[in-house]
Amino acid sequence: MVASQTSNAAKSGPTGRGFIGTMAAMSSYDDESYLDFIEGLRMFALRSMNPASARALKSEIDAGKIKSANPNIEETRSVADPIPVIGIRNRMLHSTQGQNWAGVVESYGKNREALEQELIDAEKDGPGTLRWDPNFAYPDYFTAIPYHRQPGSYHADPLSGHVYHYGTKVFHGGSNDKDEAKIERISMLPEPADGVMNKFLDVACAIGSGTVAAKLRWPNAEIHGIEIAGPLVRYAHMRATRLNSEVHFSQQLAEKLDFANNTFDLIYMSTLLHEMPLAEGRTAVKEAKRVLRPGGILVINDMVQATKPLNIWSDYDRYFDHRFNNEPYAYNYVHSDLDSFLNEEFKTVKNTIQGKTSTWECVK
Amino acid sequence: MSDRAREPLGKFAPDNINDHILHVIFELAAELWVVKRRLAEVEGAAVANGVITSPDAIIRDESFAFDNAERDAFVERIFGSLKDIGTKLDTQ
Repeated sequence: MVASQTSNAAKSGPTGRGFIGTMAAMSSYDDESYLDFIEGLRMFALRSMNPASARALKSEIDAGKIKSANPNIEETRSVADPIPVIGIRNRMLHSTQGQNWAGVVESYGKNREALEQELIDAEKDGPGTLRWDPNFAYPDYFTAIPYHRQPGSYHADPLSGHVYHYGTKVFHGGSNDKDEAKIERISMLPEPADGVMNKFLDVACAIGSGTVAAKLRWPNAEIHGIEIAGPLVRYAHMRATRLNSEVHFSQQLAEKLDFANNTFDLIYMSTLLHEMPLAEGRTAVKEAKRVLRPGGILVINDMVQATKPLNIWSDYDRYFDHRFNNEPYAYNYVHSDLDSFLNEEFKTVKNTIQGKTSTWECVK
Repeated sequence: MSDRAREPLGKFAPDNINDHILHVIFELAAELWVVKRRLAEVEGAAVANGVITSPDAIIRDESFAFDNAERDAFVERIFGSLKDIGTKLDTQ
């Protein structure tokens, strides 16, 4: 029995129970334990139930239950949905996601006043800066559905940033509690060939963990993060201030940036495109290209595009996430032939795939 | 096992109740884990200090708290059989 998560020395922070990594601890020990279990059950679903489900579907495919090499999702579902191990996996993923959000919302809700106050207190603090608009006009596609079933989505609750941070901690099995996953991801980013690296932009930065990681890698560069959701960008600034990171956050649409042409040497766009309708996603890429200087690089990290012949399990899994975990645009995105679009827009495009993540390095 | 325990279970619940039962199990297991985790802390503190002052004020202590591997083993022990169900349920 080892490895404490909660800072035991400091009964501090807005919940009075210290911090787990860079996030405020849950409001009680039992709340923390409840979510610790949910995190473990979700990891079991991913590490054990997922491979077992993929094997079960493959055995049905091998038995001739699916005729086409590239079946549509209805044909796949007609075979996969009735398979018991897949049904249990689906139940497990759906329940744990709901339990995760409910647990975080309820626990942080016990200290709502203190958590909202820390956002207010940080607004004028530095070393970084924050620009946001309480009357920001969100596009309809963004408010149409609570992303990933998060109550209040990213924009409708002042605590959406807090909830997002702890909820994604559970979702990712604690792999980024101290920004370690983001720091590693940022460490892998290329620099422009001419070696000039003065300005960096993190598009759709969420709670700014990648943005802060960029400041660690390039301490002398000017680091910006933009995010559509007000509560997230406020939380990003508050968190960066607590970490003493000089990062400049602003609430903006990725489709309509307020930066001048040719401003940035490197732009990072992570897990954004699958969260947008295709047309808006294409506009966001063109907008990133506009503010990228010649010779600069746009790096996109996102879901792997669908293959031909189709990976039928992956397609089913993606559809499940799309249909039952409020990923309204993800399924269209993975079938959108992003590669062709990027190759038309940029001088060179290099694509690599690591697990479920695809990376495109696009040079202007 | 008693004779009573070996009696046929009978079939009373509708077929489509499985999702609900599974969800209840998840909740039940979560609550059990809460208790196990708390008990470990309380026992550790009791051994270390000889007295328990306020269980409600517990902060996780790394010297005797469960780690993720122990948690994951607990999950596997309860739910591990589910991954072996495969394509068909036993109808016996």
